[in-house]
Amino acid sequence: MTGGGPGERATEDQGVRPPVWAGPVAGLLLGAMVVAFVVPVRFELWPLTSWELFSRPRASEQAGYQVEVVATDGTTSPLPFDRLGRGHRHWRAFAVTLPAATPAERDRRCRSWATAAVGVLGAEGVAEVRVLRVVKRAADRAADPPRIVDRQVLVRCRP
Amino acid sequence: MTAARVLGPLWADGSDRRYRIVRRGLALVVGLRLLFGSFAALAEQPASQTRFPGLLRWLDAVPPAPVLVAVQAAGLLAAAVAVSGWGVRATGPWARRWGGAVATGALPLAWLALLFLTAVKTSGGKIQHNDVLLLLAAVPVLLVPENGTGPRRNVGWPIGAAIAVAALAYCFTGVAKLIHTGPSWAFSDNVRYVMYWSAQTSRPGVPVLTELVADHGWLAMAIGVLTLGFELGFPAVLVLPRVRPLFAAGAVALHTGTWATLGIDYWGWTLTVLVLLPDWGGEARAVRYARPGVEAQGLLVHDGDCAFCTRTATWVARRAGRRATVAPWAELDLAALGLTQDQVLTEVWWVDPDGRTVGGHRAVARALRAVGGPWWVLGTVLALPPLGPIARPAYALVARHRHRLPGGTDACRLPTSHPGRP
Repeated sequence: MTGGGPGERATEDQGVRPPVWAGPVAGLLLGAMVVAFVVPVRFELWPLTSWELFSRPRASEQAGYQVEVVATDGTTSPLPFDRLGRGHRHWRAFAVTLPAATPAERDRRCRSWATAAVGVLGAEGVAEVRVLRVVKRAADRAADPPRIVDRQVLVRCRP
Repeated sequence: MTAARVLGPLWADGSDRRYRIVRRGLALVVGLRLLFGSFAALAEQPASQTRFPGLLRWLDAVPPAPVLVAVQAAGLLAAAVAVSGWGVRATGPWARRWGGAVATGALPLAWLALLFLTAVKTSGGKIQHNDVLLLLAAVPVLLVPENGTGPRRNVGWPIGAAIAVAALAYCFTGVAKLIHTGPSWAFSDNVRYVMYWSAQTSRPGVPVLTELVADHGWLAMAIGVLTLGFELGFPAVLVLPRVRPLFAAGAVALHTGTWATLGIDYWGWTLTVLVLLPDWGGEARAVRYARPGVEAQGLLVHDGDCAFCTRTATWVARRAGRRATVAPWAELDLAALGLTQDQVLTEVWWVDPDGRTVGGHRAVARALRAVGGPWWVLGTVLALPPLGPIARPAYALVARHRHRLPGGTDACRLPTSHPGRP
C-alpha cells in the first residue's frame, strides 16, 4: 500500500530488498503467537496469550464468588473491595483459584482480605470473613439484580 | 499460489515516509499508555494478591511506588524523544555523536517501560490484554530505526509484520470464541448475558446502552455476528490493502462499543490499528499539495468527448485558478504522465506536482481541495481512508451513469469493456 488509487505509481523504495534477518525475525514473532494460541500457556508467557477475550459462554445462571464480612454485632455485609485500593481490584481472579488451593493457601488469602477489611471497617466491623461460592440467576430485565440460587462457604477466617 | 506471492506485497509496503509515521505513531501510543496508566497505585498490591507472569518471576513483590513512577517517567521521556524524531537527522556536534543511538534506542526503551509496568499490572491476578496488541505489534518496528540521510532501505517488512501481528491477534480472538463456545457465541443469548453479567460487576461507559443490548436479544445477536465476523475476517487486511481503512473503522466501532457497554479500556488496540492500517502519509501528502493558498499546481485529466466531464472540469478550472490545470486526455502525452488510454477513458485522473497520479474519487477529492473554501473541506473528507469503501463505489456509480447527468450525451458512455458497466 503506497496510499495510491488504481494506477498510482509504486514508490521507488519498493525495489529495495528487506534485510536477510527480516524474515526469520517476523517468522519467530508470528510463530510464537501461533504456539501460544495453539498450546495455551496463559499467564506464564505473557504478553503472548491465548486471546481468550469473552470467549467462554455466558448463560442465565452463572457461578461466582462473594466475600462477606461479619461484624462483631453479627451483621453481615459484602466486603467493600472498591474501598480496599487497587491492590485488591482483581480479587475474583484469586477467588477462582481457592477451590483447588491448599487449606493453608486458602487461609492466607482469606486473612489477607480480613486484614485489609479491618483497615477500612475497623476492628469492630470485622469479626469474621467468609468466602462463598454462589450461583446466580439473571433477572428478566437488565436493570434488575440477579437472584442467588445456591451458596456454599469455601473458607472462613478471622483477622 | 505460494504464500510468498500472496504476502509479497505486504513486505514491500512502505516508503521511509510511511515508516516514519508508523514508528512515531506507535511511539505516541506507547507514550499515551504510559501517561494514563496510573501505575504507582500498583505498589499497594499485597503479596498474597500477587502472581507474577514468567518474565517478572525474579521479583519477590511489587516494587515500591517511587520505582514504578521512575520507570514510568523514563518511559515517557523516551517515548517523547521517539515521537519528536530527535537524533534522526543529526545536525549539532552532540547530536552527530549521540543522535543515532538515541534515535535507535528511544522507542525500545519506552516499550520496555510499558512492558514492565503492564506486566506488574498483570500480576494483580487477571491477564491484561489491554496493551498486548500494542506490545506485540511494535516488536518488528523496535528493530528498525528511522532513516535519516542514509541510503534507501526496505522498511515495508516491519510495517507488514506489525499488520500481520494485528491480523493474528484479532483472528485468534475470534477463533478462541469458536473453540470455547462455537457459533452459538453469536447465535444465542450469549452476548445478551455478557452484557448482563458485566453490568453486575463492571462500570460501563454508557450504562443505558448495556441495558438496551441486554434487554433486546436480536440486538445482542446482531452485535455478536458483527463482532465475530470482524475478528475472523481481519486477516483480509494482509492481502487486500483496500479493506484496511474499513477494518480500522471497524476497530474503532468495536472498541468504543466495548468501552460503552462493558467499561473495558481497549483504546490502546484502537490507536494501534489506526496507526498501522490506513496510509496516513499518502493522505497528508495530498492535503499538502492542495490546501488553500499553496501554489503547487496539479493537473486534472478528464474525458474531453464527454460534455458532462468537460463542464465539471471547467467548473474546477474556473475556481481553482493557479492551483490546478485542467486538460482533456486527448491533448496530453499520457505515457509521460504514467497513464494509459484505458485508465483515462474510464475515470478522471489527477496528477500531483511530484508526478504521483490518482484516479476516481481520489482525483475528485484532490480537485475539490484545489478549488478551496468549503470544497476543500469536502475534498478532504472524501479522501479520508475510512470513507474509501463508500466513496469508491459512489464514484463508479456516477461514472457509469454520467451520460444521463446534466450536460451528458451518448459520448459520455463508458467503454463497453469497462468492468463497472452493467
